Amino acid sequence: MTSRMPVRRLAFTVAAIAATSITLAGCGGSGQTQSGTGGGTPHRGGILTVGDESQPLSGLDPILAQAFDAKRFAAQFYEGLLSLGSDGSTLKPALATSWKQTSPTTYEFTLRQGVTFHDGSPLKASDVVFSLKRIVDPAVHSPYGPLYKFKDVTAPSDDKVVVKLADPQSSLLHLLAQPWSAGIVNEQWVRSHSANDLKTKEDGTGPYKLADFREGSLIKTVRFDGYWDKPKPYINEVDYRVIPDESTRVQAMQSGTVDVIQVVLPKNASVLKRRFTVSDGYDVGAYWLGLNTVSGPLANEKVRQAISLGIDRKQLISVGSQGAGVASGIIPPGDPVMAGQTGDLPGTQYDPNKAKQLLAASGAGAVKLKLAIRSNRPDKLATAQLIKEQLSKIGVEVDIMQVPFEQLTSNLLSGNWNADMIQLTSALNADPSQYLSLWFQKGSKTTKVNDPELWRQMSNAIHETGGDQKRRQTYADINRYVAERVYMLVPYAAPPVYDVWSKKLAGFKTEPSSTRMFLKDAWIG
Amino acid sequence: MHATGLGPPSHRSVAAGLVGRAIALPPLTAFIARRVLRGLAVLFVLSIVAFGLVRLLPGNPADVLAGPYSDAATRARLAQDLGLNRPLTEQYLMWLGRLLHGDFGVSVYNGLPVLQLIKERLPNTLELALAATVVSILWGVPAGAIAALRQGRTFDRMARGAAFLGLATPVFVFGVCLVLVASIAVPSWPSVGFVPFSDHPVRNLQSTVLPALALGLPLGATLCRFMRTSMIEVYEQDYLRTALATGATRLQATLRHGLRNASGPVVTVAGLQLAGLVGNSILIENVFAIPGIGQLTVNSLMQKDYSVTQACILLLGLVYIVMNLVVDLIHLLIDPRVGGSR
Repeated sequence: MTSRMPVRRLAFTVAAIAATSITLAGCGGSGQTQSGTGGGTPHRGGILTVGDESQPLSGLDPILAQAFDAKRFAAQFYEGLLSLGSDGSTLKPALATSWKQTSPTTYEFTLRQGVTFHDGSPLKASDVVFSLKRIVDPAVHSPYGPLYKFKDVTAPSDDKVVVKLADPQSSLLHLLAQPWSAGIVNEQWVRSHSANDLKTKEDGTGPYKLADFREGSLIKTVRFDGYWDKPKPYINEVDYRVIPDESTRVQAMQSGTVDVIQVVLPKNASVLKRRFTVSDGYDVGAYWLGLNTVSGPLANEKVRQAISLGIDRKQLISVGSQGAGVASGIIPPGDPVMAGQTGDLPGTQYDPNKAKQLLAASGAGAVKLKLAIRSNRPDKLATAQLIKEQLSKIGVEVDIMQVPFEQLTSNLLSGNWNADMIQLTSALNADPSQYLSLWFQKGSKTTKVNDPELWRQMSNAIHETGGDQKRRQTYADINRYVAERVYMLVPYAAPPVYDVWSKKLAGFKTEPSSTRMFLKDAWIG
Repeated sequence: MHATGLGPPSHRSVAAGLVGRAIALPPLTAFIARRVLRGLAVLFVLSIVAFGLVRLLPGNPADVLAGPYSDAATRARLAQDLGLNRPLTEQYLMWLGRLLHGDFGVSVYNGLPVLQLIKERLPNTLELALAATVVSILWGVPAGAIAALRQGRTFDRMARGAAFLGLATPVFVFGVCLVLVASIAVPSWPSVGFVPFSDHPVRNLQSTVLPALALGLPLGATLCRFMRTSMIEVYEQDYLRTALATGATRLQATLRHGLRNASGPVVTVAGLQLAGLVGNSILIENVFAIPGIGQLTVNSLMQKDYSVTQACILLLGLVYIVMNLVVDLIHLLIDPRVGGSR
């Protein structure tokens, strides 16, 4: 992997670290599988070294995994009853070979035979019942618990599991297909271990099993020989090393120390593209500006509409996101529920004259807004400064406050915003209702919107059972409604991370959650 | 009032005096015992400060653990189960009580005992700190001494220039530059990817070279300046003039009388720098991906992992206390007058 052309290599690396703004070509693909070229046919063997930013903060318990770092391991160690296709939405069999909906609130699953956990014990229907009930157990503190509305989960026979819901729920099968929102665990193993043990040990049915956990430096995983989906997985050993600093990760990739990394900055993705396979990324990172529409100047809808018209989204995409962004609503186009589309959202076309008129008509006088953004993120700051600049042209003054991330989320969760706008970036959630609840949940302290119609639509989306198409439509309607009422400003959505892998890794596919879910299909070429 | 030296008993502090009298300790032991007692008092105060400081920061582990997308009920339940709702004094006393039994608690996140986390990471940071100190002494002390010897000449100007550059460059910038230079000059050199000593000693030493240079070269700049100033002062002393007058060459006089007399302040600086290194290593640990104490401290602080942060702060305090003691003992060795006169 080492270079024979030092000068060129220096240029690459310097470019990776210095703040040059190379725009990323060919960005914006979503809903499409992105796979690397790699030679040969699948075969066993080899060691793959991955350089990761951090180790799972929430540990290895699948149903506590929310951040990338934890989901990546949940995806290797654990599996759900169903699994997802590479588009992030097609449902496929996994630990259940088939399923059927027998009533609007009843689902029946037939379990796969011959599946074993990593400790060698066979998967039983009782394990599935235990696993699902465990998600909604308040003592486990799973963030996914509130998404389920189980009435009962039972195992009428050794290979059948029946799930009864209290209300119809459109997201159920999708939730059951994600290893983190419904990872199946070994009942006996979980009962004989403490909650703390589960953070550094695992016993799932997934393709890879844990061989060594070294806090802060290395997680070593090896192929699970008893995996049901034979002959997968192909790679014998996958080592995850911690390299917190992005420029160091880039350097480690270029020197051949690691074979796989993820980068956040588009310019790094662009530089690495010359020597490695780089995913185009998925547009699941919406640049959210949550608005306080309950008090302050933004309680006036005309002011909000004026601001939305006063923002030049095209300029924000080309400069603020370094060309990596696409138009977006609160639910980004990369979310599988949007299938790559956002449609033409109302009130998002740049029109400074109309913005000024609306502002004059609003009777609000001089509008001054406080915008809180996360500190130490120059890429987020650039967009915020551009927005400030653009809004100054229609006579709105924006004061940007940089706040440590922990304080920003603390302000958000406590409801004491200390700002009119809060900037956060979305990551792909188990279900879009999680995005919406964060900002708009009825009766929640975090909510700065008071609109019964929006709450009705949100509730409908959760209970919609008219199939995928209908579910998508309800979320598209919400996206539109939020844009129309300007409950949130979204200048663009961009990929939150880019997967980078060396040519030695063949057959690797990415998907919208960027958790390396399909590593089991890949081999060392 | 507190005499730190080994003077007559009437000058000693009361507590240490009691210790000294009851067991009739020899002067050096009494000196150490006094310092240890004082160190414990400092640690106690530090434990209150550490406990209070981490809780003053916005956010709490329940919020971080549950994440922004969790609902309020989940976060409230988590906060309750983590014991965050109890009165602060109760939380502090419980923590202190366990601490006295050697139980530092567990990390809220990975569930591992804090002591184990520190035990695994401390050798890496100490190795880095020691290596960096060696690097800094190896270039800083001789360069400073020679610069003083050749005051105003080319070497002096170069050494001062290098020292100035070392003082002015942030450590992490220097680290990134070193990674780049190494990746060009010696492409196969493992510039990133730390290997523990127990795994592979040779690769461990290889992977320590660059971070040690990155930390040690700028540190040596301070030593170089101190050494130079200190030596120039020594050259103006009577005993050195006497040595020169009795026929010793400048080099002989420097080696025999100058270095030892000039090294007092330099040892103090070097010792405190070593203590500071443990705390300041976070920047370099991040660049070179070394799982050390600095990284643990900052990560736990950001993630509100209270028991880990508190233990790290106590540890850093302990390092300072120990290094101060060591520096004082070395002073005694270099200059026996120190013990009596202070």
